Amino acid sequence: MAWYRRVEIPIILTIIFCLFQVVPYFFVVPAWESAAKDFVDWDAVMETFALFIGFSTLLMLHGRIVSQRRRGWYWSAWVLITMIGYTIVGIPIPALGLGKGTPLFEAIRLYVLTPLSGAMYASLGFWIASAAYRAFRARTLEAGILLLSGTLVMLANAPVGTAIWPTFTPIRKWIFDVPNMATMRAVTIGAALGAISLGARTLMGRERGYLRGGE
Amino acid sequence: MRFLSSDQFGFSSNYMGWMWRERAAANIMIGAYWAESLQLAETGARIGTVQVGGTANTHQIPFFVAACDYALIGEEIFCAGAYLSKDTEMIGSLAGQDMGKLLSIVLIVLGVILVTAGSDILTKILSW
Repeated sequence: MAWYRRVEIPIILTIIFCLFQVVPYFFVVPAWESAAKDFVDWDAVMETFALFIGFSTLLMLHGRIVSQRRRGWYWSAWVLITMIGYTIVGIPIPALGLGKGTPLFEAIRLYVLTPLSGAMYASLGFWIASAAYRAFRARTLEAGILLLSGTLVMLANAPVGTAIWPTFTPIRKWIFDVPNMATMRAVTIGAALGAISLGARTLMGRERGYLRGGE
Repeated sequence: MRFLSSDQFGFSSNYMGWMWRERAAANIMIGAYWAESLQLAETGARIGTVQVGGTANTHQIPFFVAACDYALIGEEIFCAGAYLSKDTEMIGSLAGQDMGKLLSIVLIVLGVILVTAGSDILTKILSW
């Protein structure tokens, strides 16, 4: 196998850069801390490169769909038009009124992107109703407890619930402060320990999922 | 591997449409999920795909539990790879993780007892 395809190289790089981030937590070495901060900045640069690769693959994928007139090709054409169009609008050429922060760029962001994102976020209400319908069917004891606690919290949140019986509010507070809080803390502590364990495995080169299996 | 979008809802709308059009047979969602979690999981549930969802984000776990066939809760997402690999050293790290959890439980119980008795010695030791 060619040296640049060997799995050891990314593992060694991972270990080195992991150590750069871990050591400043335990030891005060100003030069080391400064280097660790620089590496975090590198991350932003690499993200930009990754975004460029993503942009290129989108161009290739949708370009192929349009050129082969596959089913729904006009949607791909629309993706290409909006993607390339907004990229051009974002190129910093103030003389032509282009670039980030210009009226055209901001108008597209404010009047197109923001309402579209808001609409997608608002649609969550319907998704929640649909999931709740499935989850709240009291087939098991656990689902029954979920149904009961969910109903109590809903009644406490709805003005009509507290108008009928004001005690719904302290019941909701108890549900949030005691069983809900205890569960969330348990999950958070477990996840933190799991993340430490994953970090230790990665640091030792045992975790190779990010190398596509890496055997 | 296909890039969808760097925008949260651009990604989710693309993902939902793609899953719906191609009638995905399986949908595995493991990692950091926010508001898009339920949109994706519900779409998968509607088309009848086999779904595995897992996240350490406590606010999104209920959505995966409600809409997925199998849900990995919190730390389980970090263990899944090690568990499935059957690699002895990786399984060993899981045992270490469980010992860490046991130690945390002991410290929590001890802390509760000491604070109830009016002593903050454990807090002082841990925040030293």
